[in-house]
Amino acid sequence: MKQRCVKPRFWVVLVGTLGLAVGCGKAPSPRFDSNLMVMDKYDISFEQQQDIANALAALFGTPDDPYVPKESGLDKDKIKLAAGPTKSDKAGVHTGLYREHCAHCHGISGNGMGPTAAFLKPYPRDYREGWFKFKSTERAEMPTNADLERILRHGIPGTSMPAFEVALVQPEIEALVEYVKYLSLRGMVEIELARQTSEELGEGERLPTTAEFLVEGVLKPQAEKWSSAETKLMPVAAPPADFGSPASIAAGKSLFYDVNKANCLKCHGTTALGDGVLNDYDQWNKDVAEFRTKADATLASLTEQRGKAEEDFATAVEALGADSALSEEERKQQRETLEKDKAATLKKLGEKERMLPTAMAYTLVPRYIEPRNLRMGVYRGGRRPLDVYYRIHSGINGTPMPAIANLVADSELPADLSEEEKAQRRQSLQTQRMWNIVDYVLSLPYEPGGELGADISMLGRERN
Amino acid sequence: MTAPPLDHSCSPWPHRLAVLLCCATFPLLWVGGLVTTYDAGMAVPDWPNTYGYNLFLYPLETWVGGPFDLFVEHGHRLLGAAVGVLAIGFCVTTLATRCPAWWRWAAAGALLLVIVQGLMGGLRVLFDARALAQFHGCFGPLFFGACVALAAVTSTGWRSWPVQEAKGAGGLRRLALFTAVLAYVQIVLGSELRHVRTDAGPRWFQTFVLFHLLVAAALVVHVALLSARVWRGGFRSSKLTRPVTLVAVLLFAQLCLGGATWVTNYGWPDWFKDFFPAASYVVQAKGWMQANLTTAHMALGSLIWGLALLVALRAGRLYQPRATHSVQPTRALGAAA
Ligand code: HEC
Ligand code: HEC
Repeated sequence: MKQRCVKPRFWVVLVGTLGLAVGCGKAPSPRFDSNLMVMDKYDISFEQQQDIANALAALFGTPDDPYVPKESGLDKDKIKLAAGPTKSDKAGVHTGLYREHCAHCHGISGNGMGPTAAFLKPYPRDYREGWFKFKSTERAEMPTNADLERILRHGIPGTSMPAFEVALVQPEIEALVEYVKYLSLRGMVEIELARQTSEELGEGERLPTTAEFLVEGVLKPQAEKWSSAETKLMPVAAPPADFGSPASIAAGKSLFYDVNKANCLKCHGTTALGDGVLNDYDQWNKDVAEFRTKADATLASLTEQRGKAEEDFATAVEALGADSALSEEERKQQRETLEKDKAATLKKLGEKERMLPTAMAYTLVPRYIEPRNLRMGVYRGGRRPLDVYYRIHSGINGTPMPAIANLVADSELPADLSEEEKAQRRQSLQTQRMWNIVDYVLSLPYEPGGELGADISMLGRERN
Repeated sequence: MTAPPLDHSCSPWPHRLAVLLCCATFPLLWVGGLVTTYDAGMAVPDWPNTYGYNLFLYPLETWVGGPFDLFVEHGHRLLGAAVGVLAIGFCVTTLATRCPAWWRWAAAGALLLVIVQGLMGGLRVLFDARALAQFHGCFGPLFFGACVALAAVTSTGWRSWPVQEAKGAGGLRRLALFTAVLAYVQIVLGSELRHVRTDAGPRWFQTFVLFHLLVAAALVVHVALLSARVWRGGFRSSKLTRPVTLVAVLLFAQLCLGGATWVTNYGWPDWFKDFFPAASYVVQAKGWMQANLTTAHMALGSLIWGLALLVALRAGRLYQPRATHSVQPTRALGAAA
């Protein structure tokens, strides 16, 4: 008798538990996070933030259901392959590639805040500003498809950015490159919308929602940066005939250590072990550091600022009462304006109080960037002489590593040349000298004292 | 007429099947780990069918010759079905042969566990519920533990070993049990690292890594204490020394695998980057090393848990605390008065 009662209850419990597990197991679809640091930087109110989020949703869709206007220049089919939850079919075609391979580091929104991010050094890239390091285009420009493909295929040695040549086939790599561009463009548009909201909208004015404004005014100029990347390549002249010769290396060496010329020793150190400047941030970490300092200060002074708003209001009201030139009507009107202003200030402070802790939680502890130890012979952007040439020519975007300075003094050019000839001569000398530096940099690991050279005692030397 | 001598022994078959069940479940766990490693959970969109075919009728050449993800996922299903069949076989043998009645209940319990596990795997696919995948992943080792327990208690030795009263037996039992529980908790923590939601944000993962490391340290301490207790504390029965030594060796291997898993997934920690080969190391996504070391780390975790459970069970079976206060009236007696 008793057993009969237990059994159905048991099955109910079992099925109920499984149902519950499915219910809990089916997590809500991931969403794009708003760029709170930028919202704070431009003092965007909650209402305006919602406007921006709406505009972004209209332009780019959601992580599960992405959308790209044709003006973005992006390929919708490729994006669809990379977006959404991970699946594969009988033919082995994978969708949801980004979530399978990248999101745990770079984050669903491409903000470099994936779950694993806090442990990785350097932190995974935040794509949203459109700053990329290793490319063949000029410093401030976007990378080409080929640049991004190379990074995906070969990874970045010495960092946790993996090589995907084994894991992915060509169409998948292309899809992911397109998706990186999609996330980056979305981030750039978000920043631009915030900037325009702050700088170009009047008091109380809402963000226009017309296609003309969003697509023509905001999206297109940003998309242009990506679609024109192929035309912004760094000029490269072939290496000089003596490339690789001891003379070329020696010439490179003297430039490298010359504070008035290349001044590489400033950061990479007199030893080239990367021990020059050790307390500089890259651009991403600098932004975070500044944001954190400012947010801390704002949060600490909230009570004070609220008190001040009340105080200012009281003083103004008092002054109003004392002003005998005003009629009763005018006085009332002005008082109302004062009240409105006070309420607006308090509302803004309240919003900061709510937003800043979340925004802070969405940043990682800022860390200094270390100039590379050039005696290791490890080149994250690629080890071909051409790659090193790119790095030296344009520096490394987003990091302190600067584009090459002028290496040719005016006095080195014959005075009897025309301006045009002078410019030409200067250009060819500059290029030649950059190749000399490349030569020297590539020889550093093999120099006595280099990690790959004869002097073994230098291996694993401490930095200080 | 004299009756034939009474035979109290049980059939050896339940035990053989239980051992077989362990031997089949461990590879099943491994392949299940591969499914997660290759993110192949959704390589077959339907369930219980495979692309419309009955599980067992899916054409061999499209399975073996198909995409790797499908190969792994369908293989996992087939192996799972095989384990299910073995569990049924185990049930049947306990019913058909002479053995204690509670074995039948235990066998039915094990069968129920496989069914639940299979259902969870299926629902995970039907609803693409990733958290359920994690639950399924944690339940697998639990079933493996159940198989190990069944194999342990159905052995001939289990019925014939004498119980020894020994000083400190209570401590030994508690220590062994706690070590086994820790080993399982470690599996659950590890599963959170493998199944972390991509939109979880860094703090969550950070916290779980921390706990995974803390429990690893706790396990090292407990396994060391347990080994010391077994080897030097008067419990030096080969039934304990063998599995406990194996646990210690495997734990050491597991620590190495854990480190290797980290490096092959995320690269070397920063402190190594002034040295070769860390400075030039490139993580190979889904490369041979990454995929297999990570999966091995997961599988070895289950093996350690299974063996630790075996140690705990045997410790409980072999040694009893010495009854020191046997002359005092018990509470039950007092209550009866
Ligand atoms: C294990 C973590 C990890 C995974 C997984 C990962 N990345 Fe990265 N990625 C990084 C890190 C760290 C960097 C920053 C390296 C640096 O700054 O030197 C980076 C940088 C990048 C860059 C910037 C390169 C440049 O030139 O600035 C791109 C693009 C990129 N990743 C794309 C991807 C894509 C696409 C995927 C998925 C297929 C992916 N990453 C997967 C960690 C990861
Ligand atoms: C203001 C500081 C600074 C100066 C000046 C500087 N660098 Fe760098 N350099 C860096 C930093 C920081 C990095 C590391 C960037 C990174 O990790 O993304 C770097 C990286 C490099 C790399 C490694 C590129 C790669 O692919 O991994 C090379 C090569 C290099 N620098 C050469 C030079 C040369 C040659 C000069 C002189 C012309 C120079 N640097 C001047 C800061 C500097």
